[in-house]
Amino acid sequence: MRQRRTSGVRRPTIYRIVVRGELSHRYLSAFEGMTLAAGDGQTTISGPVVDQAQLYGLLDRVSDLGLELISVNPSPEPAARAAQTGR
Amino acid sequence: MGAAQGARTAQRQRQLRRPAAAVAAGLLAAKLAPPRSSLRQVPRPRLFDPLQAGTRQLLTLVSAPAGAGKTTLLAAWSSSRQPPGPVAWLSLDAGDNEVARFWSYTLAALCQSGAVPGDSALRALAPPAEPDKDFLSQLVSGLAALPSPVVLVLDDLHDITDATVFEGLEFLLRHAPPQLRLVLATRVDPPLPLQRLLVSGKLVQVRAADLAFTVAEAAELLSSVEDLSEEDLVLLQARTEGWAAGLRLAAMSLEGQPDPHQFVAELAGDDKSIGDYLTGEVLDRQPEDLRSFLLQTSIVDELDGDLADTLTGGHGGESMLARLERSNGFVVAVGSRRTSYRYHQLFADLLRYELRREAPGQVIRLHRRAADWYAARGETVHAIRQTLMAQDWRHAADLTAEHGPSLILRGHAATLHELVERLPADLVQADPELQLLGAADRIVRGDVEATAAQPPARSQPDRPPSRKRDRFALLRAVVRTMLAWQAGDLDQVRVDGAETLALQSRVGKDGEDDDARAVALFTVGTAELWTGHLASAEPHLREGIAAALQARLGSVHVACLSQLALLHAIRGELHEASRWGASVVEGAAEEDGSSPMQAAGGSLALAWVAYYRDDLGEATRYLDQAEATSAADFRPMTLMAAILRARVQRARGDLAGALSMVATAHRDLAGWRPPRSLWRWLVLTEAELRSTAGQAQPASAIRKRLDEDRPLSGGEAMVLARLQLAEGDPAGAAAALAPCLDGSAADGFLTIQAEMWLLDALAHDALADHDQAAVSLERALDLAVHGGLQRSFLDAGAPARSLLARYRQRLPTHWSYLDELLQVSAESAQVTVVAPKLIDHLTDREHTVLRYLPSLMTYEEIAADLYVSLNTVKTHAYGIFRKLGVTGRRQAVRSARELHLL
Repeated sequence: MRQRRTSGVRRPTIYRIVVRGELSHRYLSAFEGMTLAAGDGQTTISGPVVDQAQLYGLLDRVSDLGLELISVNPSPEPAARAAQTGR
Repeated sequence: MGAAQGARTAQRQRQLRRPAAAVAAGLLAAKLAPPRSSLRQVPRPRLFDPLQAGTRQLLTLVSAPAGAGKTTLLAAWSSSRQPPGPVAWLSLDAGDNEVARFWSYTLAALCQSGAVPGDSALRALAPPAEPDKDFLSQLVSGLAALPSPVVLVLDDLHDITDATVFEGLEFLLRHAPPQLRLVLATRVDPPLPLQRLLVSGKLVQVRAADLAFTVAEAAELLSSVEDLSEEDLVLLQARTEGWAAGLRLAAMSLEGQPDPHQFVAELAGDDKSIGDYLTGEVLDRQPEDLRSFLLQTSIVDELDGDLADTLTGGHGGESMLARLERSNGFVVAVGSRRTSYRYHQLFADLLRYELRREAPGQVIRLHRRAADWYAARGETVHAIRQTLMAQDWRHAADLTAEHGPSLILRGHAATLHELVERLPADLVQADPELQLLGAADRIVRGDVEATAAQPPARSQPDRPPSRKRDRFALLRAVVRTMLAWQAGDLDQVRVDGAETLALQSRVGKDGEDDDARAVALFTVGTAELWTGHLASAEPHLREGIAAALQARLGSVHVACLSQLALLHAIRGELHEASRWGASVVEGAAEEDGSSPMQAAGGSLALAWVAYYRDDLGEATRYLDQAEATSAADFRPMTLMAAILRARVQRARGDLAGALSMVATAHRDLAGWRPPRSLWRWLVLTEAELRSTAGQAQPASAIRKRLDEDRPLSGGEAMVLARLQLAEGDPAGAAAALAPCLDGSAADGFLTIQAEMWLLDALAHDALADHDQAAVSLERALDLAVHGGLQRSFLDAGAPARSLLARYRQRLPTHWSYLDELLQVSAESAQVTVVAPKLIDHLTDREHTVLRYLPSLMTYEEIAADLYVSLNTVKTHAYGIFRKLGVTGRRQAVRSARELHLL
């Protein structure tokens, strides 16, 4: 777990943000650089997040769009294995 | 184009009438009124109940996600008859996340609500750059003095994150008087002690679950859709969970659906995200032209028909917007004239994302178009914002640098900071000009660290002058000017301001930056006026008036007029002073919320006019008015008002009162170093009063006190000449007056031509040069009759009366005015001058110490404050006791007060 804040080289962490409802590709542009995976009545927005500021930016967007937030988790997976866009 | 032209003219006219307090506010009108939709609203009386309950208390919190219907509910409630008092509305946005701006908007909202009477202290209150406890306490006491409750609605509070704003709100909540009923609408709970307020019964909440539409309400909302069964409604309500935005979108999707049941059934059986799905449905159902209109115009926050046409490259934008507003609630009209529109925030976000998805290439082009449109209208800040959104960094940086100095002058340094922050960091780091622009707000506020970070002046005389270098020099001059202004150092303002003006005309293109020039001219002219450089102040203020008219800056126009009126008053040019003064006072009365400093300037000028025309009652009335309106003090004017009040008191025969007035003025100088010439004016006023009171100090001693290196101004020489005449030295007086009369004396206050000639006449009469005396007296009368000046003749007392009587025969052209003067003078001689009784006159040092005696300071502390030894203070104190015939400090204070020495 190399997540030292002071580290000069910032390694993005993969985050998984789960919201309620199945989102279409329509919202992809709202979450630039992330991938959306929809299914089972919810959508997982996942992708690399550089720092907390970017994470809060994404969460603000969730709130701006009136989406219901279910969970936010950092994931140990590397970016390449992030889920594919659904639908 | 005709419509655009008309709109532009209308906008400019509105600007001209815009209250001064709102100069910095731009789109204030739209922020201070709840958005109103012409769509039929679903009445939701059940939600009015908690609002009623909440506004009987201190705080109502409406906290729910985007699209829950918070604003709509509050807007409907505000315009109902339910609120317990007038509603002050403020729609916040991310640009307001700055503590000074937050409070100045809040004040503007309160003042515009109808709850704040014209004489309320709130109208004169202005938040300092960093609002502190003092400001907040004044706000609280202003609210506590309101005659009735006021409901303050802060909408979209989630856009505010600045911790100092919330500290201020918490202070306000803790000290709130019963008049204040605060309503906060937000997507996130604010960092306020909500739990404590809830427990103490001072908080009522309306949350997402409360705002959710019931089936009955949903039915009402969807009543225009035909063929919906009760079952459909239940399904829809359940599927949207009563989310207002979802239901509104559903209503739009259902319009013209061939089979609504089918649509509802499909929607209900699906797991899609409601907002996402319905937006797609709604947009896909629009005709292509409307669809692209919606997408293209979504990139700006607020638009009118002209901007819409610019963005779409089409026409008919205005009617399109009006139709959208009436038909489906995509947009709401904002502002008092309702020709501007805003998309509902949630829709705007959805549309922008849709645009980015569909036509990413267009986004940048559209922002560029918007930027050009704003730039052509002179709305610099919007133009820069749009350029930033177009990611046109170089161009944005250029625009910022180009308009930076003018933005700082117009009080937008904080906005500038925000704009620079949004430029790429490496671009800013490579450019000292951008760095200075970004730090300007902190430098202007006197932030020492920021000032130290200011890039050093680089003099490179070997390099040819370039426009960019001039521009940088201008920026530095502007920052220094504003810094000096904030610090109250008018001498420095004059120097730096003059440099600003010179550089402005080198850098600026003709007519492009009239508003910045108007502000600079006002600043320089005002500094010149109060530092006694009247001759250069006059043309600058006159130019400022012209530039302000050109730029349609109503408030700056009035501000220049106000200073010009004072300038003429100071010179005894009563005709002009009364003309300008009256136009300021009338203008201020008409323009609700006009800056108190301006209004006070007009009243003060009129007070001088009345005084010189020997209408003492009128003078006092205007002085009271000036004092009442100038709670936001401009210290030079406060000092001038004190000097005038002392003179009015002397004219009434109350010498003791006049002297104590001057003593108070001296005391009020603590912590402020007034411009030298203003201070000299105060010293001379005191000397004249003492001379009348029979406590004359020799003219030579006064001259010494005035700091001998500096030449006397005409007016100063005149006062000394008067003292010399009283001392029986007419030759000295005539010699002192000579440079004033031939115009070679330095410029300054008190330079009243008529009075100088009168003194010259008195001097020559005493020297038995009767011909010269007659010539001089004639000049004095020529000048006096023009503006109706009488006071100078009355103040000169019996010698002037005798002079007028003896030379009457020689001056037949002035008989009528001369006779009037003689009569008034005879009446005024009846006023008995009451001089205080004192065993022996106090020395200046003793006066200084006397002023400390009423305080709680020990002798040691007084000594430290005066930088003298303890023994010196004690010696002076005992000197005071002896002269007052008392034995102790407390007795001395009482006795000094009786003698009006304190």
